[in-house]
Amino acid sequence: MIGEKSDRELLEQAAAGDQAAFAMLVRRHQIRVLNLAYRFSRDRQDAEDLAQEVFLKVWRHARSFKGQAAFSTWLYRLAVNTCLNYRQRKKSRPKSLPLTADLESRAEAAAEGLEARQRQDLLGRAMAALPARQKMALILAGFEGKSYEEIAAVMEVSVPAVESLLFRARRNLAATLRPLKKR
Amino acid sequence: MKMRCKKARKNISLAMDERLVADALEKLHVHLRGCPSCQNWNREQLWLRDQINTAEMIQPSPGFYAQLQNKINKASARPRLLSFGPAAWRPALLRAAMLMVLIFSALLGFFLGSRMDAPAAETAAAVFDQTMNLNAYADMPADSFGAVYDRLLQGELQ
Repeated sequence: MIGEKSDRELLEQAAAGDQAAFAMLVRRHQIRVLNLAYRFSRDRQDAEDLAQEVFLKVWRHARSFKGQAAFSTWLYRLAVNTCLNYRQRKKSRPKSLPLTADLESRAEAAAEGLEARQRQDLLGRAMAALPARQKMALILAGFEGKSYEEIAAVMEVSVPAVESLLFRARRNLAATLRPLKKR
Repeated sequence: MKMRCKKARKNISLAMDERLVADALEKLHVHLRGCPSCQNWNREQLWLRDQINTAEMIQPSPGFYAQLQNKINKASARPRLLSFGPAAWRPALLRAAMLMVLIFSALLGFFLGSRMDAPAAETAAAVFDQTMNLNAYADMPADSFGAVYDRLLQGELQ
């Protein structure tokens, strides 16, 4: 039965042109890929486009998957590279960059009690201001709960580089959001 | 040895991901007990982690797979420019191109090198004369090779 097949088996079938196997693979991983893209882009439509681009790459490159890494690592690598390229393509970092002054004024305005939604919004804006690789490391460690070794494999860097990316991401994020803590 | 704040903050980041060994964790706790600034940093990081962990999850739209299918169909129908046939040929073509570049570079190197090393015509003639020792017989009549040879045979020359 197709539902019991491993990712690798489904990918092999997809590589041979089996669209049902590919559809199953997409259904199995679409939420994770979509949410990774959503955390990164902060835009629902962009996230859907990115997730579709990732699965299009899976379809195109299914034959080139050699099985040296786990399918999920390969998939995440495709997703991470697609997101990082999206950031380069869009070059929208200044657009979504929350100025500290803006954050401060929002923090002051909400001094009586910031709603969870607003906090998430500000967190998202602060994350959008992070350098792309720091942001991606933080998403993989925080939202996705990946280990440092998994992040290193997905981002094709060393484990100490992951430690450094995460530390710098957290430091930068705290610096941007610090005004909120003063409420 | 007392831990510096910078090191402590790096270790807070590691501790949040459960990457800190027991000994280092104990040192971090000691530092935190005596450092209000790092205590503050730690609280900030824990707050951030909570915020990150409570972020909303989204679901794919109903048309997600249909749109993906559409993109796949479009990509399949689009003729590929600069297609060299099966993908398996590409590494071989790449290697052949690299080999051609290497051969071209080597030939260019030989050509330029030979031009740079070539002696002037006068120098070449002088070296040739010296090699053949023709100057030794320059004052003799009919100092051709044949005449010199004949005269050597006849014992007229030593």
